[in-house]
Amino acid sequence: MADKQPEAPAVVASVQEPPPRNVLLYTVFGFLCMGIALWLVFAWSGYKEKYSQLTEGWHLGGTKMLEITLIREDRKNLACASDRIFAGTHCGYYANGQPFGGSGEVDANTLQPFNTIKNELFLGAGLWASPALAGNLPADRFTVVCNYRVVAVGKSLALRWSPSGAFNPVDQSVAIGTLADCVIPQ
Amino acid sequence: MTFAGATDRIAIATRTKYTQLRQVWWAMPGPQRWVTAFIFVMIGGGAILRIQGLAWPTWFTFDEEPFVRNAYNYAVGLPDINDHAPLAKQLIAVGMLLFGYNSLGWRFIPLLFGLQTVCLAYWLGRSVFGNQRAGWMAAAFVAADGFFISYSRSGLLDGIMISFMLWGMVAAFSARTWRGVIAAGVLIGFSASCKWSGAMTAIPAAVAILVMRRVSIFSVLWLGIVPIVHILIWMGALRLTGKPSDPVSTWKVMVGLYKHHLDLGHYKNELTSPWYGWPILMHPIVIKLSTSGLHSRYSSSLGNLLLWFSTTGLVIALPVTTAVVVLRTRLRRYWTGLLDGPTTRGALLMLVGWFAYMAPWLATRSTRGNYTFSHYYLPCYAFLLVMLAGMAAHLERKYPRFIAVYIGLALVISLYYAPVWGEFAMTASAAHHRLWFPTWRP
Repeated sequence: MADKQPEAPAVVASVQEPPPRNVLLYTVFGFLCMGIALWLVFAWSGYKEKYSQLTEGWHLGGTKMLEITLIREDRKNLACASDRIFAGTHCGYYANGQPFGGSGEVDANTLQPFNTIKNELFLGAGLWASPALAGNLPADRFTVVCNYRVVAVGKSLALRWSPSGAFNPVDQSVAIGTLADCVIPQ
Repeated sequence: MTFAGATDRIAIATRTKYTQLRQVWWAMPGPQRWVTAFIFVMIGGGAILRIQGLAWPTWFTFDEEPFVRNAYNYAVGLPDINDHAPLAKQLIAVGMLLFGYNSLGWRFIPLLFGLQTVCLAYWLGRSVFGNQRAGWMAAAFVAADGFFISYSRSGLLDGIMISFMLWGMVAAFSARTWRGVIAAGVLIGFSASCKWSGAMTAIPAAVAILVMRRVSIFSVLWLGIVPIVHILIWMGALRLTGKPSDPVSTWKVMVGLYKHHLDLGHYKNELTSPWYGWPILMHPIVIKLSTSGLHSRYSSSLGNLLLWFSTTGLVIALPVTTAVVVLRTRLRRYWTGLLDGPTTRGALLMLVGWFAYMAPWLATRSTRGNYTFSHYYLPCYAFLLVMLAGMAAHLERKYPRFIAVYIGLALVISLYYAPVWGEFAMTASAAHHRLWFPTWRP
């Protein structure tokens, strides 16, 4: 039996159009129009009021609203070590690593290191005493917004970010203060 | 002409165009009409996803800090200490001059180039495949893909580099005189001046010029302007920042950076992924992440899964099939029944672009090791999406229902993934429903 050639599908011819002569002009013109349109849209939407607060300062004695990034284990994870007492607040450990007051328990005056969502480091006391953090906390990372009152600035401190970790000295000046009126933004 | 006369003419032209579009719409078969609607939703939605909430978060994410700080240095005349070519940072500085030193200022120019990339995908698809439909599909695919969306929303260099790459390719495909080839060379020089890998565009551009034969084959030599443009831009940048900017000093700076890049294999970074992991989405990076309360906003560089794996499949299937067809001429008629010569040629040209951008990472693997990142695949993927669009536009004539379902599915996937591309506030578990594997998560 002779091999039967299978039927090929019908050929669909494509109609090839060459690109227009002034493609580059169109693309440059379109780019400029888009740039101007975007500029006008952002200018009209009041971007300055929304986004130009990056240089908001930290003032000794001042109160600043902060958003802090946390996990629920941070109550035990985070600690600082120093022999000094800053306006009634103190680290959970002495500079030699011994627990403050013998137990190392975190109370309303115990300072802990935190980072804001903008990755700014500071020491704060009173976070876990807030009613908002008294119940069951989320299993995932979450943030808390608090009023932070700056009471001092410290440098001869050491920080620890996990219970089994070592205390490492900070290499910058760090704001020290109290956290109050904390809420988890919903 | 009076003002009233001009407005009348514009009104008449608009009305005529509108009537033409209505006629075209009603003349289309049903599935094609669906595809057209999907395309416009993808392009419109992609533009909105790029623009909305651009400036959030107001602080640096991922690699923005080194690029933005050095862009700012250009704005105030201080030296650039970053390890990439200067042009994209200088352009980001223009955004900060317009809007100030804030997150909108440093993300404005990447956004503008991100939107331009969608337009250029249209022009490239149309030029390569000689078909407007291919252009619209290419624009839709790029517009509705998270890889491009996330880079349009960040103060990074890659999106700007890709835009110049596509611009250079459009210029090469549409060149009809040596002046067109020079324009392509200048645009490719701009791409290389954002990131060195942009210079690889010269390879597919040269091949396109030689294959398309719209200009003399010797015109391809004008692409030699690429390094000249690059060096001039670098000299200008050094001069702007008060550094020695003569050719010898510029060359020394470039050689120093080249050695530094070759030596990066010693560095460790948990976001790295090897080249063979890119086509299979081994480790896409979440390039923007901010948390507020119980909700987070993600901008993942994960692509549209359907488009991504279609292109990966084509990278393997197309060269193999073409080789088989060339060797076994009996099978040629099936192939030409499915894809005609110009479509196959266009697709293979786009594959050359894909390979040109993969080659540096294959070649430098001995020195850089695995110190490579998934965003190196962004230019490769741009070429592949244009290739996919050209093939889809061709197949639509023969299998309109199949293509309508395919593009509809791509749109559904984009809608599902839009929250993790466009930084919508969501819980971690909602994000994990989309970012399935640990390597896809931050």
